[in-house]
Amino acid sequence: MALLRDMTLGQYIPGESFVHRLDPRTKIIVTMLLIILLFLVETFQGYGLIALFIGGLILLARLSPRFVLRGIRPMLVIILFTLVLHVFLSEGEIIGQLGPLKVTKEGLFKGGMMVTRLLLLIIGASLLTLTTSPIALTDGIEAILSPGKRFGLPAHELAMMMTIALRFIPTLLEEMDKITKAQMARGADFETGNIVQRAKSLLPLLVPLFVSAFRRADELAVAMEARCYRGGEGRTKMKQLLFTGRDYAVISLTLTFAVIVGSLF
Amino acid sequence: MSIRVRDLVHIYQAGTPLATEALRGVTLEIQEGEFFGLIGQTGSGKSTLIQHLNGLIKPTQGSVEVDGQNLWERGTNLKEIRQKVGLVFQYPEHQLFEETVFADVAFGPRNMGLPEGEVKERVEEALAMVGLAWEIADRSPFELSGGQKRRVAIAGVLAMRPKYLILDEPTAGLDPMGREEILEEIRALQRQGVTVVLVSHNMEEVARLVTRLAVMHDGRIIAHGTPEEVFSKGEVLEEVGLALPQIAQLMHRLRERGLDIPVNIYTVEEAREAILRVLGPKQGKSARFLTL
Repeated sequence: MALLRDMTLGQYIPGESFVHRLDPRTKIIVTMLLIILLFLVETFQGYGLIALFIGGLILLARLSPRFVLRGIRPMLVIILFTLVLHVFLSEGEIIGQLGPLKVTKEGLFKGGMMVTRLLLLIIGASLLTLTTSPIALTDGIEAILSPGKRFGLPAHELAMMMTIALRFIPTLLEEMDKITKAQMARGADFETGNIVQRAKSLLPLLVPLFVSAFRRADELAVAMEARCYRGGEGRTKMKQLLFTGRDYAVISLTLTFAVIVGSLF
Repeated sequence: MSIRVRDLVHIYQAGTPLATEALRGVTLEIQEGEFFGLIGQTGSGKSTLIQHLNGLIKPTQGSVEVDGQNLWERGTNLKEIRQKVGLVFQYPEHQLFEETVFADVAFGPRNMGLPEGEVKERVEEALAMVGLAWEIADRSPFELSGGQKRRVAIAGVLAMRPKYLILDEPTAGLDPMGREEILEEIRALQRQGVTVVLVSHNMEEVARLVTRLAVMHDGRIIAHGTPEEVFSKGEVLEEVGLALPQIAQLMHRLRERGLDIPVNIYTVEEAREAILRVLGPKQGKSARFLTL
């Protein structure tokens, strides 16, 4: 449970910085560009430049670098796993041997590459969620997807589903925390025993959690219907998204950066 | 023997931009056998404080001792402490999970590793304490009424035979009758020797029951003592948005108007007696006619 609480990925830190005040669409587009770029670039020099770019954004957003880096912690296992797989399972020039496992030069290079790519991906993506409130984020996604409505893409419904899901993550975490504590107060033990015992010990958590999730879903549905919710048709917004000069500047700057770095490295 | 809390500070998400200070130095002692009340508005730190009392959360600073044993010292068995200090959360019925009432109430005793015979004995005893019939034991807790579910959940804690029992808003969301019944059962438990800590924001409820209380505001204890002592500081309570029990307010007003009347009165019946006594036999008679 501590793992979930330490998760900075997906958390929003309110602020008034330049990055915070950008249109959510801008931030989504910039993040997408960076992600595409990360998959195009295949040299460490290129990654260095992207790291600098992301570092600049962190400074602009006035976030504490230490806090941003903490977001990596829950992903460490996956990152290490990737590294190990690449280092030992790649074909190529052998530079060391550990029993039947061969360490290759190409493996080291590829592994290092993948790890850097993953790290930058996580940091870049968490930068988006750290500086954009969930509501703004889904508004942005809805706006970006809305051209797809003509082809039958339910943009509003998708955004609404996301909003609801995001809205209930903290609630469910809180609920989970409360139920965990209540069962611990009755002597429940979630930390010792073998896998089967531990899986069994989760039952006293999961049953109440599901019961309450369904209860909440039911209540929410009734509350929405009571207020005549009927989807996106004809719906207006209190906060209109508005592109300003800042947004155009940031997008064109990122685009230029992406084209240059993408073609050079 | 007591629960002793010293200079307790708790900061949630310490070291992040979201750090919030929930407790800012709380010192408190709960004596064995007493009926202790903890009152305060939502967000005053009551729930954080009680979760420290059985070691569910670790203090950022300060210490908690149960019967002289520091909870966060090496070698302290927290499982034993949690059995000794029973904690009933707010809306405890949300934690029911078993297929039958019996199994749910038995969860605690089974976790203690008791033999099945004793488990059964304790479940029976606990269900009786909260006024539930034994026939209910085979039913699913999910098909019971709200008040019954609440009772089952409380029985789940009682079945561990705690020496100290902490209840966080045990009457929240119940109708007046259910409320009275639950409070009556809690009072009976206390008479049997269980130390009870009742957390509430309902002054009327606390005033009638407890022998001592503490008022929390913004992570601190701003008043504590017997109900008389605490309610004599009416202004302090009003400042933090807690009102005196209505009857006590009436008594205070009557006293201000020059009536020689005691102010430590919290029920309508007591108030009536006191007023009649002060008004004297003659006037008292006509007053009696009026109220009847």
